[in-house]
Amino acid sequence: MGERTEKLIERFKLEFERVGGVFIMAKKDQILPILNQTLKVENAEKIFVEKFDEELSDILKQLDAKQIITQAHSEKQLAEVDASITGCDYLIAETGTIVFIHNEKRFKSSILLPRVHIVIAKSEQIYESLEHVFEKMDKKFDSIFLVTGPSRTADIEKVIVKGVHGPQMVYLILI
Amino acid sequence: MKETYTPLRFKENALRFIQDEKRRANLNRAIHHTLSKRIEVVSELPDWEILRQRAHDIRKEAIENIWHYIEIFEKKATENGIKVIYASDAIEARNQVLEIAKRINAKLCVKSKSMVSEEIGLREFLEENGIETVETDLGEFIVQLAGEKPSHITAPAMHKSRDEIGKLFAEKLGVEFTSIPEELTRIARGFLRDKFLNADIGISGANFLVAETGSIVIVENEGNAGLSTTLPKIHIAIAGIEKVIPRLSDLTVFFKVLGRSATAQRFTSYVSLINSPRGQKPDSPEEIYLILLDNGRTHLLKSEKLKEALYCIKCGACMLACPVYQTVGGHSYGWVYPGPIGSILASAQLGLEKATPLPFASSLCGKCHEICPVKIEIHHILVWLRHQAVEHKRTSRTEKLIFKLWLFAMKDAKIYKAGAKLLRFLKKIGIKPSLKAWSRTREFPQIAEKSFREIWEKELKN
Repeated sequence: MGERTEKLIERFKLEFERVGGVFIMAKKDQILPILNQTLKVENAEKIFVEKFDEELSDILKQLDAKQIITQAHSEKQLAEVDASITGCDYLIAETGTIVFIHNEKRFKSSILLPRVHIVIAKSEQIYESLEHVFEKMDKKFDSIFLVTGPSRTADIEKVIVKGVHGPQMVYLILI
Repeated sequence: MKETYTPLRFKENALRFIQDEKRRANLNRAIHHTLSKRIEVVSELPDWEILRQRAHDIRKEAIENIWHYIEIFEKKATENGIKVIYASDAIEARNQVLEIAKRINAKLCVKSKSMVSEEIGLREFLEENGIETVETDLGEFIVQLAGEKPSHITAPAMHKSRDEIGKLFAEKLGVEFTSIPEELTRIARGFLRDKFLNADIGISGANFLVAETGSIVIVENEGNAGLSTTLPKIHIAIAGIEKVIPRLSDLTVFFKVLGRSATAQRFTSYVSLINSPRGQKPDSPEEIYLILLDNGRTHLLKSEKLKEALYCIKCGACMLACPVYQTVGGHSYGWVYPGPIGSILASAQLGLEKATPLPFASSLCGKCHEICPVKIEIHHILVWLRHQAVEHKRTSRTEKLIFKLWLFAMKDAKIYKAGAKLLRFLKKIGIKPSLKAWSRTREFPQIAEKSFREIWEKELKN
């Protein structure tokens, strides 16, 4: 890993943790135990897993969970899930933002409905700023969703409360 | 509520609010909190002023060429499958929404935060037509339950304390009383989750419309806008025509200034760039409508002076910074957009005759301009509007007489001196000027024994 990438990761971690996200660096063989531990801590029994590449899919099949859904057929079903595990398209170091392109394989509601959201990303997906991501991206994109930390509000006496309509916890596992 | 909700009642509304110490305390706590956090996140950007200028320049470019960019936007959005509709006023916009709702026999709408929908009274209209319409932003939800109006454009329930909200939830939702914000939020989440999953239509506003890509951009923190624009079969977005910006890359500038100005955040939790309906995606509405609302905006465009008010990105910072807003609260203005920028928009959209008190509800200190992320010269426009009000004889005779006398005295040193002497003489023999409206809430200034001119002549000159 280059020095530049390392710096970007460091910045991302700082910003992501500042908005209340949990950042975990992992090697491929560590993913399964980390995920199992996280699901246990969060008391998540019913989980949704997005479609990943074959290698990751095989790992995720071995997850310790009561129920694993890989093919969601309705948003109502996603609303009953405790945690979702998804990939992402880019990471923005400057703001700790996760970028999701809303495409054929991605449920936007799987990012918002469960109370816990776990994102698996790769270090080559990290960019310095949104400017860089926009430059890199195809201008004929479908919809995009930028997520910076958990769902939050300050509508009651300016007290910050997490998990209003979206997830209360967002984890990012960086391979 | 509707009859009293007019700018013409500004004075009595303001007086009532000033006397309500509890409300003022709630408001001031919230304002102070946001402003001090804002300083923190603004000062860490050394190029803040450059960013503001850049934001100003982009908004200027967009507004100066608004029809050009709207044309590009419409073409792009239509290509992407979004149905773009124009509405010249509130009535037209409301009917367009109702028509869509009736066509699919809609029973339930979920709404995310949209000041434009407040502007056209959409929720009330849909409810009158038998369509349940629920606000899903927590602050808006609280205000809807209370049967009130938002008191600030990004923090609608900032005038309410946690106890008041707890009592409201207990009364309206039949839950046990709690004043813990986390508990209250969880209650709202549970109640609204059901609505999201069963809604036929999702209604949203838009923070920006990107011409280059045809994107509808919505910025938020709670995730309710994301859900409102994803779960229901139909999404209707309503946006003022001024929301258009030329390029996708312009967003990077606005994201930096908007979050910091509105809620003192470096970046808001969620940003949706909506380009197209469902298509091959596993979720998303089957149809997306965008209603482009005029409602008096072309009237602003025609005026060289007022045009600048359309640069506004509706962050609400000028309200928090305004000493008048801080004292009288958002409801006193009697218009959907309160505070300094709201006074301009009300004068232009309602007509000066229906908004006369508002341009005068400013100390002209310029704090609104200083804090504005797109550098609108709000205080200058307010002075200009005052001028218009005087020209159109919207001020009282007494006020005119006072200013005529003042001008007469100030124009000539001799008359000025004589006037000052007269006042001192009156004071000596015990006659006090009676200006009740002014002195009711203020100390009348003491007239000095000797004027500065006299002191200078006799004691200081040598």
